[in-house]
Amino acid sequence: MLPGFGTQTVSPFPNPPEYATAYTSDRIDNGSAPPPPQALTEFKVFGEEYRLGDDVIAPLKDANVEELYKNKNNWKEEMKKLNRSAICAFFDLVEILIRAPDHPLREEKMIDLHTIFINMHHLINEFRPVQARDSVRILQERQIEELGEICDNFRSYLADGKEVIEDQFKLVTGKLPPPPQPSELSKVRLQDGVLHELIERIKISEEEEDVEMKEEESEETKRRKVLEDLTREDGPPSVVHLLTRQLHEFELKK
Amino acid sequence: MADRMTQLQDMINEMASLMTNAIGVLQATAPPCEFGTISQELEDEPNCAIFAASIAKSAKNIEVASILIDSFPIEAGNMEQEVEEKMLENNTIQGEKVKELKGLVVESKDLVSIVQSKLSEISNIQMTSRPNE
Repeated sequence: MLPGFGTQTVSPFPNPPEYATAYTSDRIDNGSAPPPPQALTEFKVFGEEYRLGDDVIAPLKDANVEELYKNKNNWKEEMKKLNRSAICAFFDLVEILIRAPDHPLREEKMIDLHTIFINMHHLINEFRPVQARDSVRILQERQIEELGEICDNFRSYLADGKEVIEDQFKLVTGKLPPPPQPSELSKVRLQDGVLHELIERIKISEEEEDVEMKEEESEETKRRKVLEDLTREDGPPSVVHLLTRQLHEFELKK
Repeated sequence: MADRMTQLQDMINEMASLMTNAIGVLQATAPPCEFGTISQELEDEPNCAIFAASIAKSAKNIEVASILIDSFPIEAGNMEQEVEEKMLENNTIQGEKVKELKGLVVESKDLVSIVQSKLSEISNIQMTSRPNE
C-alpha cells in the first residue's frame, strides 16, 4: 500500500519533500522544471551543527580564550614556549597549593594552565586543513598510478589475446602453398582454372539457355579463346583434351 | 600508529592528565601533617618523585616531538595555491586514464564477441558434420 503525498500513513520512511512534486518527467523534458534547490550551508548531522560558511578552524577568540602565541609562523618556537610556560604554571600552582590553598591566585593559575593547553592544541589544529589537502592530493596520485598499472596490464593481456586469435585465423584462412611445378622432362603443363571453366560450361549447357545466352555470349567467346589456347596439339595430351571430349559428347547428346 | 599531529596532541593531553592526577593523588593519599614541620613520612612519599619524573619526561617528549614534526608540516603552511593547482591537474590526468581504460574495455569486448562467434561457428559445423545415423 503506497502512502499518498501529503498524508503520512504508517511508513518507516518520511515522504519526499513537497517541492519534489514540481519535478515531473514532462516538465523536465520541457525544460520548465525549476533549478535544483540550493544546498544548505548550515545544518545538523547526528546532532552536531555544521556551518560551512565559517573558517575551517575557528579562531580562539570565538571560544573566549586568549591568544597567547604571538607569531603564527614560528611554530616551533611558540610550541616550545608554550610547553615551558605550562610547566612553570604548574610549578606556580603547586607552590600556591602548598602555601595558601584558598588564595584566589589559585583560580587564576588554573585558568592560565587551561589557556596554555588550549593554545597548544589550537596551534596543532591549524595544521589540520593543510594535512587534509595534502592527503587528498596523495590519494589522487596513488589512484592515478593504480589506473596506469591496470591500463598497462590490460593492454598486454589484450595484445596476447589478439595474437592468439590472429594465429588461429591464419591457420584457417591462409592459402595453401601452390602445387609444385612439374619438371621440364615430363612435358606436362599445369593449367589454371581449366576444370572450373569446363564445369561451368557443363552447367550452362544443362540449364535453360534463353535468358543466360545473351549474358554469356561475351564470356563464351573468352572461354573459347582460353580453351583454344589450352587445347593446342603441340604438347602432350592434357586434362583439357580429355574433358573437351566429354564436352563434345554432351553437345552431341543435345 | 596515529599520524604525527595526533601523536603530539596525545602527548599534550598526557602531560595535562599527569599534572591533574599528580595533584589529585597526592592530595588524596597524603598522610596527616603538622603545621610548620615536615614529617619523615611526608618526605618518604614515593608518588611525588614518580609524578615529578613523569611530568618532566612528558614535557621533554613534547619538545622533542615538536621539533621532529615541525620539519615537515610547516613548509606546507604557505603552499595552498600550489596544492590546489596540483589537485586540479591530478583530476584531469585521472579523467584521461579512465578514458583510456574505457577504450581498452571496449576493445576487449569486441575481441570477446569475435571469439564467441567463432566458437559457435565451430560448434555448429562440428554438429552438422557428424555422420547421419
